[in-house]
Amino acid sequence: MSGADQGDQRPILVVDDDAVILNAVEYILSDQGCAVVIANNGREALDRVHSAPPRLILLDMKMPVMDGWAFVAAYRDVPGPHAPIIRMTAAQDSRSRATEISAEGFIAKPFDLDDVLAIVQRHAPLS
Amino acid sequence: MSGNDQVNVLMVDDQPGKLLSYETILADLDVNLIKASSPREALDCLLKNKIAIVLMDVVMPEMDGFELAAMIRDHPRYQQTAIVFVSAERLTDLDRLKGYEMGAVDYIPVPVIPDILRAKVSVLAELFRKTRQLEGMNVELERRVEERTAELEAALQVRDDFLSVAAHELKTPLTGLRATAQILARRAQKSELNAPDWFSDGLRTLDQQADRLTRLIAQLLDVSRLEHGKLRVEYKAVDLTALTEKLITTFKARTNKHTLTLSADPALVAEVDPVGAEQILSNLLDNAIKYSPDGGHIEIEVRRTDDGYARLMVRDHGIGIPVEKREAIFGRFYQAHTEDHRSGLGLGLYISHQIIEQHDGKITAEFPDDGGTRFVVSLPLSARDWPAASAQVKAARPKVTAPPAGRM
Repeated sequence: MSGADQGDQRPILVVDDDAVILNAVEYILSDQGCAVVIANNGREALDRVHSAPPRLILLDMKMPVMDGWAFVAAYRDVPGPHAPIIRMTAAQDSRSRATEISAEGFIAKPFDLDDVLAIVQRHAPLS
Repeated sequence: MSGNDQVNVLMVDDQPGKLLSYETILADLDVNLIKASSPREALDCLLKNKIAIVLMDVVMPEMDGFELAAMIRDHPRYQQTAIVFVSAERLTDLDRLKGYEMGAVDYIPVPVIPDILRAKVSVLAELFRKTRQLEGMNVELERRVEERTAELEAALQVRDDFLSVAAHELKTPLTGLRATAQILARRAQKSELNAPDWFSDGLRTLDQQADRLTRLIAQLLDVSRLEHGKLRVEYKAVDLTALTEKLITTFKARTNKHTLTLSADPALVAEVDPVGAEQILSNLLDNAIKYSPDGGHIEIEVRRTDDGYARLMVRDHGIGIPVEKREAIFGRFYQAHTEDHRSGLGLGLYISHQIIEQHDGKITAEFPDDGGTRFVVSLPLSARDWPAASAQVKAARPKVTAPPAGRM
């Protein structure tokens, strides 16, 4: 839990190389009144965490340029505080899914947008 | 000294005259004759050459034939060397037995009858050739098997990599498709659009169909993994009651013709693969709904058994399974009702069965007299070979109903 208070104006960072998914998640979060920042890959995401420190990160794992795993490693080296990361993955096999599941947050693709909102609500309550 | 096809025959005797006579007798055979005039010389020669047959005198200075035979036998390299004793003395049966125990294969009495010596050596040489040939074929066979195995493993790796990419590539557009349909449905619901019901219903159908496609793809990918045991299970402590409740909520949203009721232990923690457990339950619920097309009651039960198992039961009151098809329900591509397109790929129960077997559990199907089907799944509460974690699971139980019946 990030314990964000009602006045938390920091955005939610959404990272995905698929524009349709990116736009859909951005839309649904904005629709709930959240500030949203988007990035197409891990590299862009690293730029965003500097320019606009997020309170939560929704992260795709398989991406070109810099994938989700590399981003997580690089983000840990950035001075904190660190936002919780929700991993979004389309992986099929149990092992890699289990690894993702054991992360702070995990949501399997394809997802219900309701489930996305629910997990966001759990980690960074919407105002 | 010894060519590849050559059969070496070592003759050991301290009397040069005898060696010469053996040499003369065996000269016609297609073998390579080597002479040694003492056991020491014989050992030296054995170290340098691969010897098929040793022809030796029993009585020799330094070391007798029995001792030499024992030394030869002890060496792994000479396991296939045939030892033939030539003896001038009258040997008792006990002497012979001693010789056989030392690894002799035959005896030739003196005076040596040339034809007999020739015949025996010839047979042994042939045996040696054949054995060597067989060994060569064996080695070649093993090499080919290894080669083939490596090729297959490489091919499987390629397929695995492909499946992993395919999973991602197939699911990504589905994610976009579903998200878009859901967003359109949400926007349509907002009053300013005044969207008619058929529009919203259509969007919901789009989303549901995409969801169905997703599950079919997941099944196909799982089944290709199962085919070579790649569906690995990762044991974690999972509250099966909570998982079942969650799934029931999802399935309730999918049907308005069925009533789903759960009777369960308040919390049932078992060490299972979380993804696998979800697949098993959701396959059973999916089937229960699919095979009771007219709607009806679906009962679900999640209970801890006294002998250390979690017992999951799903019972529908639907069309059941024809008697003649009951045998095969856990087989691959099995479909209970091929005449309509109600069935999916016929993989759900197969995959469930495989996952359950990997958990060391079991699944049974029962066909109550009043129709429908009851599936009962038993999963061990504690995973094998994980004593530390199983202790945690036991500690996490809300109350101990009975002492675990130690099923290991």
